Amino acid sequence: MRLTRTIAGFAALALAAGCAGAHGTAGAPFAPATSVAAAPGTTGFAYDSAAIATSAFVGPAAFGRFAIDVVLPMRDAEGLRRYAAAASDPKAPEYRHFLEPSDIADRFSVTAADQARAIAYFHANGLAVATWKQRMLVRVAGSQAQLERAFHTHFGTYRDRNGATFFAPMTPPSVDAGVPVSGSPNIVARATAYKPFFVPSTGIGTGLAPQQIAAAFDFTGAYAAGYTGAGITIGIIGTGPVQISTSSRIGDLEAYKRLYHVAGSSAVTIVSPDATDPVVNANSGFASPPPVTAPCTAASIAGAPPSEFPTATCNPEDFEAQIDTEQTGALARDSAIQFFLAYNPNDGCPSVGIASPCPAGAGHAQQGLAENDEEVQTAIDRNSADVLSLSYGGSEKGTAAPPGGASPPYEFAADGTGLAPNQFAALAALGIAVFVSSGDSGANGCQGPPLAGSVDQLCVSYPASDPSVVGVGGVTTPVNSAGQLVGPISAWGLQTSFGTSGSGGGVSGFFAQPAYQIGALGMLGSMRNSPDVALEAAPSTGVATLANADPALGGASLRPFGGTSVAAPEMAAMWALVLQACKATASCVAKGSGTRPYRMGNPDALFYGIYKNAAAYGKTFLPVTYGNNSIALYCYYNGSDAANCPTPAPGSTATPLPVPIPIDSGYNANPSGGYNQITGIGVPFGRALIRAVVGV
Amino acid sequence: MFSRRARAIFTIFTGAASLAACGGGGGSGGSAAVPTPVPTNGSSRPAAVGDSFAYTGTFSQTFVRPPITRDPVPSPNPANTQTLSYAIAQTVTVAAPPVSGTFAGATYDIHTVESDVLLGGLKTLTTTTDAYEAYTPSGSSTIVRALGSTSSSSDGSTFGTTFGTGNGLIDILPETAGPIVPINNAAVTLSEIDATTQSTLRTTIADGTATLAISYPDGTVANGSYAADGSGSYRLPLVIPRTSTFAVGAPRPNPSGMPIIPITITYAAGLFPTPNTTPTPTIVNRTVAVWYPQPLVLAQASLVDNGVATIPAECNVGKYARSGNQLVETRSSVDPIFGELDTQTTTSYTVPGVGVACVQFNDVVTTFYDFSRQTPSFIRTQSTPDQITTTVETLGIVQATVFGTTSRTRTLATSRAFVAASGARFTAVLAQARANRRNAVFAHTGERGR
Repeated sequence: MRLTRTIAGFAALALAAGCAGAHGTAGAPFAPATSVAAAPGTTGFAYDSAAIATSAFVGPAAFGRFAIDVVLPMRDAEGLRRYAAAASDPKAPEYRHFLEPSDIADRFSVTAADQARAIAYFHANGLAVATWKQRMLVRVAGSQAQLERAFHTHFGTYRDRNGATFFAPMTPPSVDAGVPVSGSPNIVARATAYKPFFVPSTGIGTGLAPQQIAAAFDFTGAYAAGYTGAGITIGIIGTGPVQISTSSRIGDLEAYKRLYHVAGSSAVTIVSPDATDPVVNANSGFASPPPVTAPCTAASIAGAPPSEFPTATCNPEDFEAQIDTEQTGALARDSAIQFFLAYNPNDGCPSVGIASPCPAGAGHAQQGLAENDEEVQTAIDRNSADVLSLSYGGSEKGTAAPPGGASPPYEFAADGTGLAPNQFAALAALGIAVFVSSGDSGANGCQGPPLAGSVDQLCVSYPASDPSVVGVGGVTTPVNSAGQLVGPISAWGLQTSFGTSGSGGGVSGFFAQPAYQIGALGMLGSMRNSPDVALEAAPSTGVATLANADPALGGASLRPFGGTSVAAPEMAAMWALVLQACKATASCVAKGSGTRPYRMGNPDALFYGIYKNAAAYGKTFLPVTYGNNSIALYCYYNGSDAANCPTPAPGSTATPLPVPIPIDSGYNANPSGGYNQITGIGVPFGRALIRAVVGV
Repeated sequence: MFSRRARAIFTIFTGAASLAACGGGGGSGGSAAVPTPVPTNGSSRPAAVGDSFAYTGTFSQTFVRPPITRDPVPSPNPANTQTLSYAIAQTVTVAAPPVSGTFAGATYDIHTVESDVLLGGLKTLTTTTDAYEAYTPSGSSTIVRALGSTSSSSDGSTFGTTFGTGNGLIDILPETAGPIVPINNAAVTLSEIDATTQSTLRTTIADGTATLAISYPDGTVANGSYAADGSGSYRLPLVIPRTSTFAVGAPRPNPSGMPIIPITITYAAGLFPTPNTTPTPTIVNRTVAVWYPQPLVLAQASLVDNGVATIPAECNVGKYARSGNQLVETRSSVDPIFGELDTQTTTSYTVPGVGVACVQFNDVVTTFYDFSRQTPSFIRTQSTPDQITTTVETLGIVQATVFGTTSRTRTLATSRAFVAASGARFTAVLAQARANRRNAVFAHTGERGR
C-alpha cells in the first residue's frame, strides 16, 4: 500500500535557512525559542528520536495545519496482551471470551478521567482532538503554532539517509506535567516505516484467476459445503485508492468478479477516519482523500513512472488495494469487505517535505503506512470486521526503538511492548483475526523498506512478527487453468525469483516466542519465528489484478502481481470461510461468548495446535519442503547503500534498477517437512481447515 | 503428466481394458476361487446396462525440478522434489448411450463418479465422467473403441474428448496374444471450459500436428499451431489488437554440436522488457539444443496383448484373481512448442468372467521449457529438463454388480465379484494432460489488457 496522497487542507512547508536542529547532524546548533523550553516534569515523552539523530537538519519548518497521534499510557498493557493470548488459546479459561472496545478501555487503557484530562489539555492549546472507544490513542490537530505550544517544541525539517525529508521536533517534545500521555508515533513525521508488499509479476501474463487459487487451495471444497464467507466481514487496512461500486460507477471488485464469472455478493465499503466518520469529529484534522482518478501522466509527475505516483490532481489506483479487495472478495465471495482507508495527509514530498502538490522534480508524496495507527484504532473502535488483512509492513528493526533508545515506543520498544503490539493485542482480544504479509525481502526484511546499516542482516518484517497476528508468507503455486498442480508447491524465494525477492521470514529480534510456538518443531531460537502459514505469492505466477475498472478511470488494466500482499488477503478470505462455518455450527458457537461468539481471535494457537498433532496436520496443511529465502542486497542509487551499486553507463540519465548482490544463505525449507522460516507450518487447504477447526 | 482431472477421466470405465460383450480371451482366473454361481457373462469385459462397479486405488504424482543454481546456492541443495499421493475411489455404472448427438453410435455410456482424496484428506476432487464406447462386430471379433467422453469436476471445469478416425481403439475381442492392430493414431479433439469460462479447443490430426484456440474470459483469443517438422507457433493477443508470438522452428544443423532449435519470441509493443515502456515490438531470438529424439515423431502408440501374466500385488485383487491377460499400451508424444516429452504406459489385466481386475498407469513427462513460470526465465538454453513429472496409478476392483447379458438376475457379492474393471482411454489422457499443460502456459503468458 502506498501512503501517497496529497496534502489537502494543509499549507505547504516552507523551508527556512540558517538554523539547525538540536537533533540534526548538519548545520549550526539550533537555538530554541525560549517559549518552547521543555516543561519540567514531562520527561519520558516517547518519540522517534533515533530518526532525528541519524538525519541531517535542513532548517526550521513552517507549515499550516497538521495532525499528530498521541499515545495514552495504558494502565495494564501487559494484561491486555496476556488476555489477547488467552482469549485465543483453546486451552485457556478465557478462550473465546472476547471483549468489546469499551471493555478494553475500562480494563486496560487509560481511565476515562485521564483521557478527559489529556483532551482538555490539547483543547486548551487550541487543538482539535479525535478519540476512539478503546482509549489507546488520540489524534490532535491544529496549526503549527498550536502544536508547538502543546508539545513544548519547534518543528524542523530533516533529511534522512535515503534523501527523504521530514519534519520533526527540534527539541525533545513534552507536555505539561500531569498530562497523561506517553508519546507519539508520528510527531516525527517520517512515512517510511511500512511499505506495501506487492511485487509486479516477472511474467507478462494476467496471473492466476481466482478460481485457480480457489481450486488449488480448496476453497472450492468449502464452497461446495456452503461456506463462501456469507455473514463474515473482512477488513482491509490500506491506503487505496479503490473505486467502489456506486449507482453510477462500477468498482474494481465487481468488475473483477464479472470478468472471471465469480458468483457471490461480496462488495467493498470504505471506512475512512475522516471528517465524515462518526468516530471522530469534524474538527479533528482529518481530511478526505482526493477522488480516485485515471492513471497519472508523465507530464504531471516529472521523473516518475506515470502510473505509480499521485499528485494533487492525480490519484490513481496502484493495485495494492485492488489485490487486497479482489483476493478477499473473490475468494470469500459472499463476505462483506470493509476497506479502512489509511489516508494520511501528513506525508510529503521526498525532497521538500510537506507540499501539495509535490513540485516538479520533488518526486512523489512519501509512501508508507507509518501513520496507520488511526486506521487500526478505527478497526478496533468499530469492531465490525471479523478478519483483518494487512498487506504492509516494514523492517522490524526499523519499527522498534533502538536498543537502549531513550524514546520507546515508536511502534514498539526493544522489549516488544508499545503501541503497535497493544493495538494488535486489542484486535485479538476482540476476537478479530489479523493476517499480515510477512514481507517480500526474504530473510532480509530490513530491505523492505531499506533500513540503512541493516539491509544485509537477517531481519523479519513487522507487524507480521507481532505475536497477536498471523504472519503470512508465500509460495509458488504452478497450476493449470483448472487450478490443478502441474509442479511442486515451493517456497517463494531463490529458485523462483533468483534472489530478487522472496517470502519474508526468520526470527524476531524483539518478540519472545509466543506460547503457541513453544515446542513446535522447526523453531529457531527462543524468539518469535515468522511467518506462520503461507499461500500463493510468487510474482512468477502471480494473481490477476484489475484496476481502473470504471470507464471514467481511463480503461481497465488487468495485470499480474505477486508478493505476500497476495497471500495475506487470500488467507483472510480462507479464514472468513472458517468463521462462517463456525457461525453456522451450534457446537462451535457454543464455545464462544459475547455478541460475536463465532470469532476465534488470533488463529495462531489453533494453527500450531494442528501442527503439533501429526494426524490433524497432515489433513490440513501441506508442508512446504523446498525453497530458500535468501535475498540479494539491493543497491539503492539514491540511498546510503549507493556504494554497492555498479557505475551507471556513461550518459545514462535514468536511475538504474537495484542490483541484486547475494549476501547470505537465508533459510531453507525442511526437506522432511514441518515448520520453516519461509512458509511457516505450510499451506492450508480451505475445506480441510474448516473441518479441522470447526469439525464440520 | 496428468493433472488430477485428466487422470480422473483416465481411470474411468473405458479404454484399453474396457468392457466387452463377448467372450474372454487369454486371461485366467489363476488359482483364485471360481465364483459361484458362474456368471452368465463370462467375458473378459462383461458389460450390460445396469452393471455397476467400484474401484479403489492410489495415485501419486512426483515433480522433480533442478536444484537452485543462483548464488548463494544453499547447502544442502537437493533437487526440488514433491510427491502428492491420492486415494481414489470410483463407482462405475454402465448406462445406455445417448440416442442423438456426437456419441449416438456408442454401445454404452460408462458413467463414472470418482473422488480423489489428497494426502489423507487435505483435499477432495470429485469428477463425473460419461465415456462412450462402441462395440462393433467384425467377423468373429468385436472391436472395442472409445468414441469420446464428457466430464465435469468439482473445481468447476468441464472437459470433452472426441476421438478422430483411426484413434480410440481399446481392444479386439476375443483377446489374442500379440500386437493389436491397427495402431491408434493421434487424432482427437479436446475441449475444455474452466470455472472462469476460459475455453480451450485443441484439434490434433493423425500425425500429431495440431491446432489450438483459447478463448479467455475477457473475450480475447489465442491460437497455436504445430507442424510435423517440429516448428510451430503460439499467437497470443497480449494487448488488443496487438499480438505476441512464441515461434519455434524446425531443428537446424549446428556445426559445433547438436542440432539447435531456433526460438523467436515477439513481444507486442509495450510489454517487454518492462511493461508499457517500449513503443515497438521486442523480438527475442534464442536457440536451444535439440531435446527431442530425431527424426521427430510427434506421436506414436502401440497396444500389445502379452497373454497371461501375474497380477501385481499392489493391485490388491488377489481374492478375485492372481493372474490375468496382460494388455500393455504405450503412447509417446513430443510437444515442440511447449517443450515436452511424454511417455505413457497402461498395463491392464483382464480375467474371464471378471473383466479388468486391475489397471496400472505410468506417465513420465519431461519438460524443457518453464512455461508454468516456476522461475523467472522460461526458456532454458541447455537441453536439460526443467521438470520431470512422474505419475503412477494403480486401480483394483473392489465390488461389482454385474448382470447377465440375457437376464438381469445376478448381483455379485464383493468377495466373489465377477467384475469388469476400469480402463484407460490412453489417447484421451495423453491429449487432455497436454491440454492442461497448455492451459497452464496460457494462464501465465496471456496478458490481455484492454
